[in-house]
Amino acid sequence: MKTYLTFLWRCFRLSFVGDGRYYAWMFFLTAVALLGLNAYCRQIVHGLSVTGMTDQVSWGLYIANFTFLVGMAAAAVMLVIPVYIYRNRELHDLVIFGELFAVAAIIMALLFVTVDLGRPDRFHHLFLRFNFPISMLTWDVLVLNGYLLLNLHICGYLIYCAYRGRRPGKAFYLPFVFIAIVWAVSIHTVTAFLYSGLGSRPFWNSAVIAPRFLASAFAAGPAFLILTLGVLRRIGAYEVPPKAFLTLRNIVTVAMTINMFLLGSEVFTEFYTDSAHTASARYLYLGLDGRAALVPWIWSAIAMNTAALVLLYLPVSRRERFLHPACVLMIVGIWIEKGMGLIIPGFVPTPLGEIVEYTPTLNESLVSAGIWAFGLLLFTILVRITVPVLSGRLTERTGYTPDAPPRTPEHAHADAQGGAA
Amino acid sequence: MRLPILNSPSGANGNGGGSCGSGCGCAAGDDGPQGANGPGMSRRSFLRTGTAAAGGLTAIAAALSPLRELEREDAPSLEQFLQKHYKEMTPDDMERALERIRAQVERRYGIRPELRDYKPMDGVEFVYALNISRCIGCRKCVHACVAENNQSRSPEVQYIRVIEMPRGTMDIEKGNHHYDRPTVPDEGHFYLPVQCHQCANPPCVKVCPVEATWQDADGITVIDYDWCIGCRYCEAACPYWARRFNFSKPRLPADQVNPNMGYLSNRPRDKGVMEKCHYCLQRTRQGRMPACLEVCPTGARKFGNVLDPDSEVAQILRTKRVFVLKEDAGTLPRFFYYFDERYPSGLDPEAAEIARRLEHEEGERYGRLPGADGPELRWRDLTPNQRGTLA
Amino acid sequence: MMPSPGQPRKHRSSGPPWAGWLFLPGFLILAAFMAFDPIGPRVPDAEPVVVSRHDLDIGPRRDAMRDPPQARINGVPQGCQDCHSIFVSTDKPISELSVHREIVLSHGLNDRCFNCHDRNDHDRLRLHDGATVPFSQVATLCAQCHGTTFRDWQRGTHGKTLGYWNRDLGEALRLRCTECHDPHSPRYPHFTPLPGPNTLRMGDQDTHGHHAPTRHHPLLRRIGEPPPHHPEGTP
Repeated sequence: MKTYLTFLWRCFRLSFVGDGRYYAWMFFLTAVALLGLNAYCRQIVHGLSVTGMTDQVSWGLYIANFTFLVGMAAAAVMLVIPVYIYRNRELHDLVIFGELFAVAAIIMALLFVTVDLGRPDRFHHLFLRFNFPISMLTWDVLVLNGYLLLNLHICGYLIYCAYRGRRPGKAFYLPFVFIAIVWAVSIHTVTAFLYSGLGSRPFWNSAVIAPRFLASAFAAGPAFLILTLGVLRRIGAYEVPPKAFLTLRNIVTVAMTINMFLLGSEVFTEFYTDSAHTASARYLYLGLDGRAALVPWIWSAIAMNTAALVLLYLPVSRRERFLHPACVLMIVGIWIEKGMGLIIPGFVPTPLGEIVEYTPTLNESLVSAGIWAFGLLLFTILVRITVPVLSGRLTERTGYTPDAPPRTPEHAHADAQGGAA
Repeated sequence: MRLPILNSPSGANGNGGGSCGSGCGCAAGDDGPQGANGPGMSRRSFLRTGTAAAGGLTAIAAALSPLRELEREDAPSLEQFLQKHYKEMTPDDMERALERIRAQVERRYGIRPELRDYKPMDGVEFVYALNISRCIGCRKCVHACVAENNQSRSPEVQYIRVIEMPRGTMDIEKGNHHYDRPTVPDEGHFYLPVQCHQCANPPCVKVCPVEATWQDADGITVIDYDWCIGCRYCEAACPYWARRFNFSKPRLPADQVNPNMGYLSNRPRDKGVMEKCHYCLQRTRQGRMPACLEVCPTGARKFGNVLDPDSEVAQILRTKRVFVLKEDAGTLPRFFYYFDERYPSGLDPEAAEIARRLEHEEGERYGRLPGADGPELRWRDLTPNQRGTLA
Repeated sequence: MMPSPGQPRKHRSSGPPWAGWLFLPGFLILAAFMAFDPIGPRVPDAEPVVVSRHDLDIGPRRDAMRDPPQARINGVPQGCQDCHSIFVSTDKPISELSVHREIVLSHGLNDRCFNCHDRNDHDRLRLHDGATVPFSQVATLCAQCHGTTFRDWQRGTHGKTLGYWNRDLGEALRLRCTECHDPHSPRYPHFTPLPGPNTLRMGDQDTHGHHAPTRHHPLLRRIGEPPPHHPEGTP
């Protein structure tokens, strides 16, 4: 126990160590997170009318971000599959980064749901009357929190073992890793079922929602990981094998291709049928009755996604000069597609045919930016701790030794076996 | 490969540790990084850490500062926090809750309300029927409901939405919610008021994660305002757009409070919870008619116990051509629309044409002939076509 | 191909030594900004729509003629037989009469007074076969031509019912024909509709090109600002 507390204390202190860029980044994130907290306090006092949501469009930026982040969290498993199923040992340690990202993303998603609630002080009602298994929201609560615990356990165990110089016991993490693969698919499927189970919203009441969610998540998540690993490589913090980038790139390309195919399938079904049920799709892609606020957004998203996909198919995207911009385009495009392209059109027109458009307010955007900043802050700290542990610079025996020569992961394990337990 | 570590004298930058930001934790500590500097440097870095931490704490306090505007009533009391779900409350629990609400209403509005928990009556299943041949779209039902049910006036919460539909279609998307004519009914249109249909297969009840909304034995889908967490999933799930959310604190002038309140119906709600039409259960569970029906000038609205074969609604379901909205959604609504054998005069274009010829332009509210001096309408003056359409 | 990962990149400079002191002023500026809130959130502040109680009156729309019937002649209420026992009733159309000028007859084909009124006893109404009914049973008279409507009215599916749906707990009050319909111009009048929806942030809902100023623009004001003054009657 004492060792664990010492470990936590060392991690806490280590998160304040870094160079000028690190401090600038952390200050920026802290500032934005505090602005978000401030905006949320205003929301607590005045109610959700400080957001742009209305009875007609009753879910907005918060739930859009929630949906996107659940997808990103699910995508962490995309590193797990090649490593553990295809036994790609070189990428072994990158699994941890993926799962750390999953932890941060799930925490962000849970925060987004919390700020969207009208009465967050009644959270405990979920434990007292739980409408499981009928309400899909209850499934969502269970799978998201379960996934968080799963990833916290796996990462925490592996990092703590590396810190202590021990070889991790397979029984303590391998079954959980395999569970996590299935569980990751389930979190985003359950989130998709939240929408596709509603007969009142024909735009969502489609079987293609769940596959599309998974495809777009498995494109955006690994893209984000590519960017993170690129940053780590660039600041010289960690030795990232090029194979990692290539594997991730392949995953992203395949997932994005499937996503575009499903998009085409959805667009065809809506516009060829041309029934009254397609009003929401009309509103999104073409505008309805003179109201067309979302039209530029969806077409930009499609353009970005197409450009990213084309870029990924070209061999030049093996170089980070082209890979990173493609990833950025993809993440932004998928964010728009999931948020403005899915959530908002489900509410326009209302089931009674009224058209009220939605624009997030500044307060709402600040809360959202604040949660993103907090999540990135968390992720930065987690990575800041993990990298020295994995490279042998933060161990139980020696404490924090930044000048020590780096250990490769294999050496770290061999050392542990030879060294004191 | 190294992390850029700056607080050791042998650091890669060669700056001797002076470029360290604050809070590096390298001041005194037996497990600090190697090469910790001398006492002078650590006092300075301690000061840096301290001021940065103080600044951070100030910023956090400033971030939380809007919370000082929270009113006492916004924060739930311990009793409210521990209040059980409606279905688990004992009669004592309920009486305590009712007393709390009475005191709250008295504090806020200066009126001691008549607040009870109205239970469903046995052998009753409420059904609402609406005669679209008679509805003229006057919206009195909308505002009677607002007056009866203590709804927020600003922002205005209206449970009933009247839709002006063009003749010849039942596609709700072609309807107009915002008609603002000098008079109604307008020729070529009919009117569909929509409110909660108290469906027998309610999607809103299905999706609520905390069971804050459920259907009572008499068919009314009710909401426990003290249990709802405000996730708005039910609002997304309703095919009739019947549910309303309190995005801000409801504003209700004290002189417009209806003191006759029910726990599950029209007691004043708080911000952050859902509400909807509940068939005025503070009235109907005592045998009275709902407010929207009482105010309807044409008697287009019909309400009653469908299990009683002699009730008006049972007779309507037996004898009239009834339909429901969005039947394919499978919700089994208990709100039926029906129509009589003939068009209402608002819809019959030939009759409307004749009526227009007969009525004053600056009509008073009642149709009048152009004075007593104008030409009378005689049977022999009508064309055969007109003779055929006047009922 | 990827550059070889083995070589670390060149470290950039980590900033001047006094950079660490910037935290305090940075946080203080942030705190000041949040505490004084120069660009606070805007909330919609729709003016409440006032609907008079008169518009929500639930009572019968008209005062139906009771027995014994009376009419105001030159402002003085008089019984029907007071005059008609003396004066002979004529077949002239209403426009040529000197009294009863306030009556507007617009009952479709039914354009003769004595289709419904009894020529001999003006206190009663006349049925087809010559029998008479008092004014309180006017429904029998209307039923002669409006049979289906009468059938529905008897059932309760036409016309207005006030009071209790549960007849064990209270009375139901069924309104008679003339309590809603003017027997001389029975066509139901037009009403001015009460105000329509006024929901948060709904924007301009007039998409049919009328561009009349609507009541539907909730004002957006910053929290803490006083609501702007609205003169009476303006939207």
